[in-house]
Amino acid sequence: MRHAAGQEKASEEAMQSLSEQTGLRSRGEDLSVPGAHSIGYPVLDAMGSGVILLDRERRVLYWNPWMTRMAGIDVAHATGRRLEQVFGEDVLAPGLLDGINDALSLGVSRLLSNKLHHHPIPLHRPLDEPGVLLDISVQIRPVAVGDIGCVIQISDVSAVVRRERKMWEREGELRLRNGALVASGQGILIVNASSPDFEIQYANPAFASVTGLTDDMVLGSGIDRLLSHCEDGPELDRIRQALSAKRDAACDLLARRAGGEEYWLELSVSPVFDTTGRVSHFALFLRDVTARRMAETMLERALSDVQATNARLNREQSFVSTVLRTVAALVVVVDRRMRVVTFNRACEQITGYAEADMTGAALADFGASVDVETAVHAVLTEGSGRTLESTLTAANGEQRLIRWAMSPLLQTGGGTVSHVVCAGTDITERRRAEALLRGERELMELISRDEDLPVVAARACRLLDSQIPGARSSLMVLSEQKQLSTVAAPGLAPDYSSVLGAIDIGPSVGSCGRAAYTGEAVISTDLIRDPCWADYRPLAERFGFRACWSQPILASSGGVLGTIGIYFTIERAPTDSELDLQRRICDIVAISIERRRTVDRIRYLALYDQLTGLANRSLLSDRLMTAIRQARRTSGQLALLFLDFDGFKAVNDRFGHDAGDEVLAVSGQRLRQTLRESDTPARIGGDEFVVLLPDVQAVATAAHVAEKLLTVMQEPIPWMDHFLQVGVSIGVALYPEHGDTADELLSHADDAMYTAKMAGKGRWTLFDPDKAIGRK
Amino acid sequence: MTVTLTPDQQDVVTELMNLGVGRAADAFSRLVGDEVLLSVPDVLFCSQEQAQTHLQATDSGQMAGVMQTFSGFATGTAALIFPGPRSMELVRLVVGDDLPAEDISELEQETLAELGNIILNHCLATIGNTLQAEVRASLPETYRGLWPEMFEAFHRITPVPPVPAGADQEDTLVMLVQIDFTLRSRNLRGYLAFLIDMNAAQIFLSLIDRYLENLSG
Repeated sequence: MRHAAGQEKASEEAMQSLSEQTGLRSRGEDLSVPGAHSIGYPVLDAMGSGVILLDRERRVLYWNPWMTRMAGIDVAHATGRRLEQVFGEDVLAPGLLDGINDALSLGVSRLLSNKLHHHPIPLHRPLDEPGVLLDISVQIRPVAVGDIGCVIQISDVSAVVRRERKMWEREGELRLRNGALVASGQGILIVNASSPDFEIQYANPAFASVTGLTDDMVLGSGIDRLLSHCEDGPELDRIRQALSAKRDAACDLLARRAGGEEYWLELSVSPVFDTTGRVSHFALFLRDVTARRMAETMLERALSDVQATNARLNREQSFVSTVLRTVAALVVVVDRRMRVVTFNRACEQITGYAEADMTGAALADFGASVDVETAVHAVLTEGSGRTLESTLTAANGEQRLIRWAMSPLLQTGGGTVSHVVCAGTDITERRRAEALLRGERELMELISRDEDLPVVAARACRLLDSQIPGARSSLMVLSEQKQLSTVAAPGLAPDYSSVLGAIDIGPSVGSCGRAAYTGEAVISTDLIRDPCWADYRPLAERFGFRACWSQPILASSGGVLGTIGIYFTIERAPTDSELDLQRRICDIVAISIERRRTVDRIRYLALYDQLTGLANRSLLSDRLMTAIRQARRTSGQLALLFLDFDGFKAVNDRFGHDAGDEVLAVSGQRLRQTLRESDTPARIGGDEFVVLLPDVQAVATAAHVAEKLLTVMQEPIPWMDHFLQVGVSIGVALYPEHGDTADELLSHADDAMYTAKMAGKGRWTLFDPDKAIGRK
Repeated sequence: MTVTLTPDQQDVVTELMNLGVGRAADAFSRLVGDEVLLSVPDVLFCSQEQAQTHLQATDSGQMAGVMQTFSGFATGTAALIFPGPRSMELVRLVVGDDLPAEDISELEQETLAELGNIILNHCLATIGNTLQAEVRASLPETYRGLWPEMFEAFHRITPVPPVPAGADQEDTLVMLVQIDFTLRSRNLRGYLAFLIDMNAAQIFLSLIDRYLENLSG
């Protein structure tokens, strides 16, 4: 209360000077005091606090200029009036009026403190805002000098009020901080930085609960009291270094409590600076982080577990995706909404759709048929797997046969099906191979049953057509005249073979003509650009051919038997397996053709005379009986001419058997050339020939033939440097006139020939039953 | 010289004390706007040494006091003394502050001074009025310290010439009044001490005697 005390002192001095001027009332001296308005108190005028002099009737005798300023009322207005009249009845503190009364009547001094009477007199500093009253304390002293009854001294304490308010605020803050320090959950130590062993000056309550060290154990001791409980090591060294270097540091230490219990101590050291910037203290913060360390350890362990699991899952996933990518099987996974989730590479390859486009798509979008959708739906609802064979239409329109195995994927923890895994195997090739095997077996059966070539060829073509998508096959056979003619083309237009006709083979005659010519496969992937097809383009355009693969049918001996041509309406190159297939079918057909030819040969040998190429006796009998049956049915006639050379033995004897054979061979040719197709010439003995003329209308017909033969047969035959010449004698027998059985007719024709011989050779004779009887 | 008061004289003083303290309670109550009860359980007349021994036995440690000198019926110093922390408790009860400052602030000292001023004024005025004697009292001042320091201050401000060399300390009479405060359902204890120079106390004693005579007469 320096300021107030100073004022007090000043006012005391003023009082004293007043007393010196006026003397004490107790002395009983009656000094005349000048009138209030004329009173001058230079000392009081000069004072920096308020002074009011009241007379014994409580009227204002004087107030100093300070009062005039602070009350805003001129001394002239106040003089002679009581304070309550000057300021107003209610604004003055009751204690003020009581105090004045006590001073005047009892003679006791009175103090009105600021805290109890905030504004006992409403004063206002002129420059302050209106309504802000001055904080004051008031002292009332009885002074009995002249008219004066008491003196009131008013001290401005607003500065003190402000200072104290500020001090309290600071103190409140400090207490708050201190409270935080005490209430803090972390242990706090204040250590004296200037003492060599870092004396511990303060420990908050939490320090004891963290470390187990009580205030009595640590206060006044060095910091080692704490540090000696911590495990030695680089961390502890860091703390010590920080203390000696007056730096801050923080670390976790393994420490021990009094009971031996170990715990993790998080210790941080922060230097505290005094006003000169020197480190005066250290604040040490301590926390038991055992639980946190344990949690961290567990977390780390859990994390590494998770990482390991994650790595394993990644491996598995990459394994699975690799398998999915590389596996030949089609794998499609669909979700509950029947949307594609997984579409593996095999699927992409077979369907021609990309996984990116198929993810989220419906089954039908990659060409699966409706029955696949139905089956997937059934697996989703029933939860049991199933298998299914179904066609799949690829992006390019190609149809594949897929065997699907569908299995449900259960939701984790639940019984419902979340996905369906469809694993598909493309069994198109297998089915095709099975069909091929079956077809080949059938072909072999047809061959072994000796079916005719057109039947076998048609079957072979159909087999190829079914095995090679888009294929239209035709089979051609090469004749002895090196002409190719179509035997079967079941997949082509009916008029194809007639339009094509027989073609001569050659190096640039389409694909088949060239194949037959070269004996090698000719693959024309685009007929429009193939020069071999230059002459056949109209044909290709007419039938819509664009590609043709042709392979020769090769005999076991190496000769070309025919060709198989496969036509396509699009540009198309064969795969190796397709070429193999075509080759194999060619080989099978070759067997058939060769076998047929062998059979034909055997039959020929059995029925024809090798030297002349004419029918032998057995074929003749056969034909004769057929002709007789025919004639009998139609009541027709037939003639049988029996020929026997005249002079043949002489040729034989003179020129040898070769010459005889030449005569026989040339005669056979002459017979064939002279006779009609329907007639049958035959050699039935050494130089004996028979000619069967079916369907003879009259004897004259037979006679005409006989005459012609007589002429033809006697023509000389060039042989070596000679001309060989033989004659012929002919006997003619007629059906039914001369017999109705083959033997009978033959015998009678023989008889008639004999008659002709008898009659001089070089002539023909009609059978005469009378003469025959005679001869016999 | 051992100055003693007769039992009758003591009774009168005790009664006056009760009266004064009672009036002070009224003034107090008006000031605070709440009922303040003050009671005087005991009045002790003794030497300074005895007082000091007695008080030290009851309350040790820091004391806070308000002292004002008086003259008139007697010359001396009147004091209201509280055991250290108690003084603040009283101020804060009266002012209504709940401030935790360890030390008494300037304004609080002033408030304590006013509270002492009211009580001491009433006691002195009552004695003066009753004994029909003039009384003058100075403004209060506050002091702090241990009991010996309080007594030293006591002596220092007492407006009498220092005791001549060789004079007996016993010449000083101490009138010790214990008062109990009841304020806002709290009970506080304090002491009123009147240090009276017995060498100049003859007027006081004669005034008491006159009063007693008037009563009996």
